[in-house]
Amino acid sequence: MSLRIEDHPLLDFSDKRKKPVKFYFNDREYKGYEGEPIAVALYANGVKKLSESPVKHRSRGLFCAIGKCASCRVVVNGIPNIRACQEPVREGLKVRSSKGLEKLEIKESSPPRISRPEEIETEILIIGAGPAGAIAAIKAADMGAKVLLVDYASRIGGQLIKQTHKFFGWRKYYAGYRGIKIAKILEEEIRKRANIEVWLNSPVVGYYEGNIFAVLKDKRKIVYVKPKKVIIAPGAVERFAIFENNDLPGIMGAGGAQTLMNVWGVKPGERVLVVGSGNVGLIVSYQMAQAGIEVKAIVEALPYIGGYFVHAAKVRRLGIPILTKHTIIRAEGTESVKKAIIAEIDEKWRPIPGTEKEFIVDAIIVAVGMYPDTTLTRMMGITHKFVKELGGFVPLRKRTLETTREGVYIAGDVSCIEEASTALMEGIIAGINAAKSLGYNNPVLENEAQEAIKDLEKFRSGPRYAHIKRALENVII
Amino acid sequence: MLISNEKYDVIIIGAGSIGLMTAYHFLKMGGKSVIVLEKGYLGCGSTGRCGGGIREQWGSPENIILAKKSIDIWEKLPKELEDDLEFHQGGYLILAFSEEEAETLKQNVHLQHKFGINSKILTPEEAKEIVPILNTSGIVLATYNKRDAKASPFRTLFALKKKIEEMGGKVLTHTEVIGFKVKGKEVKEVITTRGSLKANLVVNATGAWSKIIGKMLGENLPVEPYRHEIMVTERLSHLFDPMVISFSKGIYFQQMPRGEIIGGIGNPEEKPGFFIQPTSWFPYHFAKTLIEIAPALRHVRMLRHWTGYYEVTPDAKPIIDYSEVINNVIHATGFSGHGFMVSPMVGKIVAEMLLGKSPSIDIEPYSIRRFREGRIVRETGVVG
Ligand SMILES: Cc1cc2nc3c(=O)[nH]c(=O)nc-3n(C[C@H](O)[C@H](O)[C@H](O)COP(=O)(O)OP(=O)(O)OC[C@H]3O[C@@H](n4cnc5c(N)ncnc54)[C@H](O)[C@@H]3O)c2cc1C
Ligand SMILES: Cc1cc2nc3c(=O)[nH]c(=O)nc-3n(C[C@H](O)[C@H](O)[C@H](O)COP(=O)(O)OP(=O)(O)OC[C@H]3O[C@@H](n4cnc5c(N)ncnc54)[C@H](O)[C@@H]3O)c2cc1C
Ligand code: FES
Repeated sequence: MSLRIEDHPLLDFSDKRKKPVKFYFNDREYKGYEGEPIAVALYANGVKKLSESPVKHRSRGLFCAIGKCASCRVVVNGIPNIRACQEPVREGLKVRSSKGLEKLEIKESSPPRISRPEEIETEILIIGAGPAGAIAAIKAADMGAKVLLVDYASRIGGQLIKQTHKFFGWRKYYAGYRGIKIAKILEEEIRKRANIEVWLNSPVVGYYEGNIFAVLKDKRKIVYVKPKKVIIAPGAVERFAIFENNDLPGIMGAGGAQTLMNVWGVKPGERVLVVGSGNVGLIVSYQMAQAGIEVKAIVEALPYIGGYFVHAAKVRRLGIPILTKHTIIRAEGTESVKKAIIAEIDEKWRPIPGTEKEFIVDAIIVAVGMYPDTTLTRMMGITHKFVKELGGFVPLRKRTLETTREGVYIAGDVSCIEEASTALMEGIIAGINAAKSLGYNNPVLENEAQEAIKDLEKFRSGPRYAHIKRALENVII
Repeated sequence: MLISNEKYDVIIIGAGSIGLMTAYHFLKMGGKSVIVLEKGYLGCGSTGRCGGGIREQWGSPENIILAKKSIDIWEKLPKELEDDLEFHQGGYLILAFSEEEAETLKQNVHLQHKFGINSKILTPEEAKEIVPILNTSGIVLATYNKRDAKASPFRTLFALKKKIEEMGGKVLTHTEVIGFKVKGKEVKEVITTRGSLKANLVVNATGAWSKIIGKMLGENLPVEPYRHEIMVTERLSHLFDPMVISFSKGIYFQQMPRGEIIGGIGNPEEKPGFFIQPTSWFPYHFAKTLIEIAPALRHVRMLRHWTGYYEVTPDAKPIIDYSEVINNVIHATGFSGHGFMVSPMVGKIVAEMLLGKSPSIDIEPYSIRRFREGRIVRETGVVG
């Protein structure tokens, strides 16, 4: 049984399936495509359990799909603790599942040579090439600054590269285009500019005294980057739902499901339950249906649907039931998920006995919200404040998006969980102001930054965003 | 919450290993009213950032005595505190990379034997039997003592706090001491960010910050904070038992019972001061030195890297003494990067002093006076 998507109405995966290779997992031979992650190739072959947890030996599999959770650990050619979602498949690779803590095979006897990390300087370092970071790079470069844009993903666009639907908002900020198309436009604009250097597959992994960032360039080599100004645009982190057996392979966040399905062309399952009816839950459900997956239902704890009416209507038209005032109480299965048990809940969010329903599923997708990814800003000693409406802890900032640390700007979901259009507005503001603080001037662009500040105000003045607008006043310095 | 005018027999400033061990022993020996004040959260000081290593293989009588008697207590602590503390006696393996270093280590072992410590001198091959991932090239000899140990600093602090509270003591976090009300040569009140407290006796157990408390009392304590960097790797199944250290390379590393490897390396360029940020110097120098000694560890990823302060005195030996200017203050500080391991015995001695008993070991070698009188001999067994 293969979970590969063969025909997709909008996406073409042929460039990722150029060279078939054979590899081994627990001594069995599997087929994959060169360059795709081990976990993706195995998932496509229906292999979901990748490892066991160290203490209770529970089954673990692909979860975040972007190298952040370590639940996909395997042993590759004798080396333990390799994240299967990050390590590409090669011909003849020998992979073994991790059983708890792994042995280190002792082969080395003489010390290998390692070299001191190279240290480079740049005018503006931008971390994260989602809509916020990408547009910030374009605008800062147009002001005349030298920009280094880094992202751990393999493409420019952040969340956009996984969105096949058309975005709402204002034409000026690319509304009306599909997410994947906006990502393409941003990428083309970036490639046109000689003063933007782009490092993909390159996570920022450390921050040191002297304003030095450690970047794991090409996921291979640490390079120390010393910028004059920094724009931090790492986006958001997904929240997860608490229910019995929520760690079974086959249960993942919307982000993981989208990465599998829209980046690599592999279905998260054949029959799926979705938890959460916000825009993300609705869109993921729609995208799964588009890829030929049967979405059994969407459960929502609130008494109403969280996302936009249009998205809900699209989902309903496909015949997917949205069960409000319901929650998931349990998943069942041993090596991977086989069943989901849901129940109706009362006003205090307690399951009502006797209302349980069972779904036979092979995947559960959880979409219960996001919070700003403040890993870096906290490490840098920037002041944060907890503001529920903005998604959790967020950095304090000026209207120019400069934080409590001089020369450090934020933009996008890290500043407040919102949308691509606001991420773009913030990217424009941060990019232009960072360049301006280096002494670059351009009246037209500076005016554009002023306009973006006004647009943000206008965008947030609608009833849907009034609470965000009010909450933001608490974090402006 | 504000506090005011409560009165205690003993106020201990600083809830690190020294402060909490003191409170614990004070209550255990029959003391009644004690409160420990901590400016941050439990473990925010050096203790919560330390490597958890415990050894009696030292190079001076002062440190050997404190460490040996501390291990006697450590052996009983898991039971007394009803928590395993991840205490494990896997030994320390100390490596010598030159004839000169070998000579110092031999002298140290000789001295240790005088105090009844069973340390041994090993050939590089014997050392490799104990730590199979060892690269023996360049190693002249090693010393090893099976009784040396490790424990989890966090588990220790939390278990102590729980016990202290069960025994009727108090530990108050997020309460910073900002001054004293002194009358004549006595502290009458301790002023905190949450109000003032009255006390008969006060203990300064603020480690790297103890000089600041000294200044508030008009006393100059020669204790300087030096940043020290340390890291933890991902977890592996059991690889080796002892803490491995080299004085000349400034490195130490060990595998904890849960499987992670913890280790650090000293930066010889480090200047005194409260610099808390990690540096880009550390990851490369640590990794390079580590894989010279244990090449197989090149395949293991560093997960996190952080810093803390060594509280350093001019001779790298502690200060356990009555204040020279205020009658009712005791200082217990200056452990110069190894205060966690000796905290059980230090706590016991300070508790004895608080209860008016004569300390069970001679505290003269730990006096403040020695610096003024120039009677200082530097400890040779300091790592990092
Ligand atoms: C399913 C879904 C549907 C959506 N639909 C819409 C919609 O219809 N309309 C709309 O306006 N918005 C929509 N959004 C929201 C929108 O996508 C986000 O608000 C927007 O992408 C935020 O942009 P960003 O640049 O802040 O972050 P992201 O797009 O998340 O980009 C952040 C980037 O930073 C990188 N990064 C993070 N940490 C590091 C690090 N340490 N080192 C290097 N790189 C790092 C990440 O790899 C990522 O590429 C949707 C979101 C989702 C999940
Ligand atoms: C990286 C590193 C590795 C180390 N490894 C080891 C090791 O392996 N073995 C070992 O034995 N030792 C080790 N040490 C040394 C050891 O951590 C210290 O010597 C020991 O923790 C000192 O304990 P303490 O209680 O004196 O200080 P601390 O643990 O620092 O406690 C002092 C407390 O006082 C508080 N404080 C300060 N000022 C005030 C105030 N005004 N009011 C209220 N509270 C205040 C501080 O917040 C702090 O919590 C290491 C140290 C570091 C930094
Ligand atoms: S790290 Fe691979 S799935 Fe999360």
